[in-house]
This record gives sequence, structure tokens and C-alpha cells, in this order.
Amino acid sequence: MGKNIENKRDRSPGLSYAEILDTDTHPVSEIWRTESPVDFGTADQPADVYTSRRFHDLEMEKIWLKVWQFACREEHIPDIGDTEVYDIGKFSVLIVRTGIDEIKAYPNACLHRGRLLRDCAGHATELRCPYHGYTWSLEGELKVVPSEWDFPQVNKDEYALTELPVGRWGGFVFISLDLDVEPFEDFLGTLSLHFENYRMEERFVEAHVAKVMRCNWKTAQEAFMEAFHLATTHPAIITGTGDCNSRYDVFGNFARAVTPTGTPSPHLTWDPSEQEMLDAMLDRGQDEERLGVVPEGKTAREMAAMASRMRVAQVADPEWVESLSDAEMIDSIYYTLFPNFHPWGGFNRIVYRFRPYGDEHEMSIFETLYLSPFKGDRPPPAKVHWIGPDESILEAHELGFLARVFDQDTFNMPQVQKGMHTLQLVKPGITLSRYQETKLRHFFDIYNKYMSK
Amino acid sequence: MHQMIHPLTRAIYDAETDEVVKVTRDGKSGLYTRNGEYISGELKQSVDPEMCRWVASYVEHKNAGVGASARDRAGAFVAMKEEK
Repeated sequence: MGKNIENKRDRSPGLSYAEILDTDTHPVSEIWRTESPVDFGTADQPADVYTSRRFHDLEMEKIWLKVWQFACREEHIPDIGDTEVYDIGKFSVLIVRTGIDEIKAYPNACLHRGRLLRDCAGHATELRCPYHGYTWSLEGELKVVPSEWDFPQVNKDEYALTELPVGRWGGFVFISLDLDVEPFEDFLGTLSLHFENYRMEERFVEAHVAKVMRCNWKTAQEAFMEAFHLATTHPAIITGTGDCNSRYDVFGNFARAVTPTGTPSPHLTWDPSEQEMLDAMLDRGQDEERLGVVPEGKTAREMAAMASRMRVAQVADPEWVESLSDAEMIDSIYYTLFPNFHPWGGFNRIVYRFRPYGDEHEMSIFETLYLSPFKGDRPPPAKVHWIGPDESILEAHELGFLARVFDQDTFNMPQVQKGMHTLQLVKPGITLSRYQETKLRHFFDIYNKYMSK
Repeated sequence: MHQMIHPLTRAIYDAETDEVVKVTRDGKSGLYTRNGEYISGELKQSVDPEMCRWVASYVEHKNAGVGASARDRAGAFVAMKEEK
């Protein structure tokens, strides 16, 4: 771990996030005021971790076989006998609801000839291999050995499915392929405290989009771990977004970035009015009618937060909505739990997950889930909408405005991957900023520890 | 169709279609692809490809019927207007 920063040197001009919080119209919880910056230094990050097959193979062995990872939501397996399949690289995990409050995970492979026990999610009363019919109970006990007389070496008691560690938090199901993995709560640290007011378990998957990318999984996720790229990749929004006023904090295995909206980017050479900031936040063109007007004496932040509260109160407890600060209603609060889980805080419904695409080291899966509150009966979770490597993320209409943001991000990612090969002809690493790319540096701080074990 | 002023360069980006963007700066205009490649016109300079994509994708989504949904910040203001 790097050094904790004791003062606020080397920060962008403009308002600090603490100063922005002071303008909030609602009480701000202590967790948002807590700062935990860490200085990881200024060393370059070797680029071959993104481009080399050798590193991919090492990651499979030293990270993906070891670490806790988000596999599915509990709502994907609501009834006893429901199953979900989670693939990571060349490995596959079968997750099974075995009791009202019990979830188990097994290596997804028949102990006879190794075929996947299940190819996809669905309900099951038993776990039967489609090849020769070896069958296990949902609890993992071997029940049926076809032609049992021909397998004198198979002792049913010794052929139970191996139970993998399962961790549960906020409706998320985590698994590890390491039987000796550290306790889930220790790995999570204080993350649950940061989310305790957001009722993640009371959300449903309203949208789930999986885009296959032609880049390494780390290349993909790093596009979502800092606001440094906003002025260049998403210039249209910076009139109302304090990109370099973002705050970056580190808490054990997770890091947090907070990017304020309703405040101008310090990159601007002009002073936008509150109305111009709101128009930018709402993506209003010069030739379009205004959606919202900022009255005299009000701010864009206040107006956007008020509109969000009214909207959310339609599907959530109004008292709870009223307890949330403006910051929680409108700012971008994006966490990263090592290695690849990115839940957003506040009332932003985004959760990202990035992982290798099969065993390909230069392809990845970029997933976006919208976790939304609901009233009444829990709606069923959205099915995964797969988008191929050569298809546009704009096809993900269910993501609304965000698909257009992703269209800009995904324009870069494959070109970053391709460019990093050429980069290594002239220098071995990428040059990260000291503060704004804190989350990337924090990731590699933990990554290097796993890789060196 | 969707005209925006670039916050940094102050050039005007106006999507003619979901593939063609008109860029105007210092009184001169040119047509560019959604990736910022020059097509024609008096203005022939480097333009911002991401800004081209931004305005063009608005048209693409509009043509596909994707409006200000409940998930968008704009959706909250649309709802407020409808309630009035």
C-alpha cells in the first residue's frame, strides 16, 4: 500500500469536493466526508500486463483462482433448485440455491469425464451430467452412477461435488475458486458500511448488457475508474461536470471516486451560468427546448437533485429518498472492489463487471447492470443482452443516455489495446497520473501482491 | 438535429444524420463522419471525433425511439413537466 497523503498538495484548481458538499441542501453522511487519499508514487505501469499471454495465464492462476469475485445476484436464483453458471476465463462455476437462505457453488464439471454439469442457468431438481448421466443432488451428493457395476473405484461418499466458498452481500453472490480464501467479510472490509443506506438487496436487475470488447479486461475497466478522461472522451458533459474536482479515496481492497455534477470543469476557459450547466447535464442541444429551468437563487445541483428525488420517490420509500443528500442523488460515486467489481454509490444504479472473454487475453466482457428500486412484487431480473465485438453498444437501448456515453468509451478501448503493443517498442510502460488515476494505481498495488504470491 | 457547442473549442457540432456531422468554427463549416473524418466543406481541420459521435449518436437513438427514459437524468425533468 502507498503512503497516506496528509495534505492536499497537487490538486486541481477549482472547488474541492468537500467544499461542494458544504453547499448540499440535505445532510451529508459522514461516509461522504471521509477522505482517504493514498499516494502510490509516480512509477510507470508495465504495459505487458495488458498485452502478454504470459500475464493472462499468470492471472488465471494467481488471481482468478484465488480471489473473491461477483458471480450473480441472489435474484437470479430465487427458488430452491435454481442454478446460475458463472464463467471466468477457462473455468466455470455452478451456483445453486439449495435452501431458502442457502446458496452453494461447485466447480462446474462432471467428476466422470469432466463435461460441464450445466451449460446455462435454469431450474433443476438434480445436477445430471448430459453426457453419461452421472447425477448429484442439489447439495452435491453423488446419487446416480450409471453402470455402477463398472465403476468399482467410485465411492459415492468420496465423489461429492466440492463446495466452493460463497459470500453474500447486498443481494450479490460472490464465489472463490480457492478453498482457503480469506473470509469474505475480511475481503470486503468496510464496503458494506459505504452502501448501508442504499438497500442494494432491495433492488432488481432492470437492465443487464454484456458487450464483448477487443481489448484486455483491465484495459476495458480502466476506462471507468477515473474522471481524467472526461474532458477529451466526453467533452459535451464537462460544462456541468467537475471532472478534475473529483476525489479519489482508498479503503483496503476497494477504492472510491466521486465526480461532482452541477459544477463546471476547471478545464473551461469561460464561466457557465447555472442554466448552462443544467442544460449540459440534460444534454440539451442549442436547437432544443429546455427541459428544466434554474430559477433565480437556485443552482443546477439543487434542481437536478430535486428532480431526481421526485422521480425516485415514485418507486421507492419517499422518506428514504428525502434522507439522501444532493451528492448521493446526482454525483457519480464509483467504487472498485478488487479485481473487477464496480458498484456505484448514491442513487446511481450502475454496477460494472469486467472479465476476460473466455481464455482470450486480448478480448473481454464489459457488463453493465442497472439495479433499480421497485414497489410491490419483485420484478424478474432482466436477461443478459449480449452485444458482439463488432456491434455497437448503441444497440443497448435499455441503457438510455448511458449507451451514448459508452459509445464514446468503447471507441477508445480497442485502440488503446492496439496502441499498447506499439508503445512497448519505445517505452515499457504506461504513464499514470499521481492522483487522478489513483484507482488504477490502487488496483495494481493489490494486483502485484497477488501476482507475486 | 442535435446542435452543441464544444465546451473547450467553442466550435458548433450539428448532426445532419446519424453518420454525418457539420462542424462550424470561425464562420467556416465542414462535413465530417461520426468518427471525425473529413468529408467536404470549407472547414478542413482536426475536429473532435468524440464530439462528432456524441451528436450523431443522439440522432441514432432518436431514430430508434430511445427517448429520455426513467434511467436518464433528463427523464426526471420530463416527468416533472408532464406532472405540471
